[in-house]
Amino acid sequence: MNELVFDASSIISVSENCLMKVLKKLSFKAKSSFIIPEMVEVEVVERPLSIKRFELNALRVKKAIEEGWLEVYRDTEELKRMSERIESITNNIFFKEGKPIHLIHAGEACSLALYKLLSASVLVIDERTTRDLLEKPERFRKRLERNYGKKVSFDSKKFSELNNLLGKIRIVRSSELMAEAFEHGLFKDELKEDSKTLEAVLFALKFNGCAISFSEINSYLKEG
Amino acid sequence: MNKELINKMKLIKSSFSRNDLVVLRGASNECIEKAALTSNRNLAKISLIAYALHKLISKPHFIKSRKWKEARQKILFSLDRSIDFLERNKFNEFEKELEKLSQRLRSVDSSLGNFMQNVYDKARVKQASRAYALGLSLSQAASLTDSSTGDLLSYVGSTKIHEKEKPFISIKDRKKFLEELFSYE
Repeated sequence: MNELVFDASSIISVSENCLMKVLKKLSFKAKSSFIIPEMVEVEVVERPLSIKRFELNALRVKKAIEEGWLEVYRDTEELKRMSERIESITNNIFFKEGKPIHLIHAGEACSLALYKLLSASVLVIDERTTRDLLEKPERFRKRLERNYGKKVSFDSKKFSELNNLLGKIRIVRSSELMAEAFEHGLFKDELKEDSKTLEAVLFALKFNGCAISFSEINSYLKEG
Repeated sequence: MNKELINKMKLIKSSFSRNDLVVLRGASNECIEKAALTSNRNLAKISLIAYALHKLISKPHFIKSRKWKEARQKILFSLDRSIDFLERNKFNEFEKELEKLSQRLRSVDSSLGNFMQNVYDKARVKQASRAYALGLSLSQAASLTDSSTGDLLSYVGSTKIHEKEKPFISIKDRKKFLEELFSYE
């Protein structure tokens, strides 16, 4: 069975758009396990449950966990150690004026650690930084330089250490999961199965924070 | 670092006392940029205070209110105390004063403002999105300003942050991988 590890951003994007039912159908249809680390559960359920504005969203995710199709991987010493190691390496790759830039939080590090420990098939992550850093570090370094207006150096040894630790990492966003769900008719109980639905879903994810651009969505829709 | 914090606090105090929106906004942005680079939560907090102050004085219904004069005095007093603690290297007291000041800004907004979300919480999300745009991860940016990840994600979605770079791997290619991976019934 395939295992897909989600970080907080991707789960929030899906639940904010009331797409948890579609995600549930996809997990059954694709015979895959959808998993979050305990730290992500805290970020998307426990903490928002105490904030009125985000309570409903947290309840949606909580229900998915209670139903069992969204699994929570409880903290273990091994996960904690791996997570700390990943956080430490990742936060010592890019330097400005000789000082490391702490780019990644324990939450993202924990999702990466779980991906590694489970030898999962896919990491689902909607936020941009972790994805860009892993997939295209040189481009990411240039972006940091542009943003800070100063030279940013890159420790290639540290990056190789991260690469060796994580291996080839496959990343998708909620947008690809939903596009896949659409192709398999998993929206049919709620929406018409036409291209307008796909367009609306992709833009809704974008407007709720999924790191995807207008041009990406438009060229995908054009390709049909 | 103390000297830098003192200079920033003095700048914020003087620009607030002369209602200088532009300088306050600029100081807020400089502080969050530096905070993002150094993971300095105090600088992040100073950034939020400067941003919230700039928002407060930009609203005519605030500064024309009868309650404003007293609120303004209290804010200036608190800024002075923060600077004084820093100058005397009383760092714990400085941190407590910053917390008191942020509470004060929340209470000024809740008594004079029209919105449910107060200016200080808006400042958290606004400046967290700036930190994210600079390159911090979403959770790291949220953590730096103590904002909620959900709030930040939704704010980021309303900006042009994700429009600025060409995609490295297209939706089609990422989806193709899923197609190959999933074994459907």
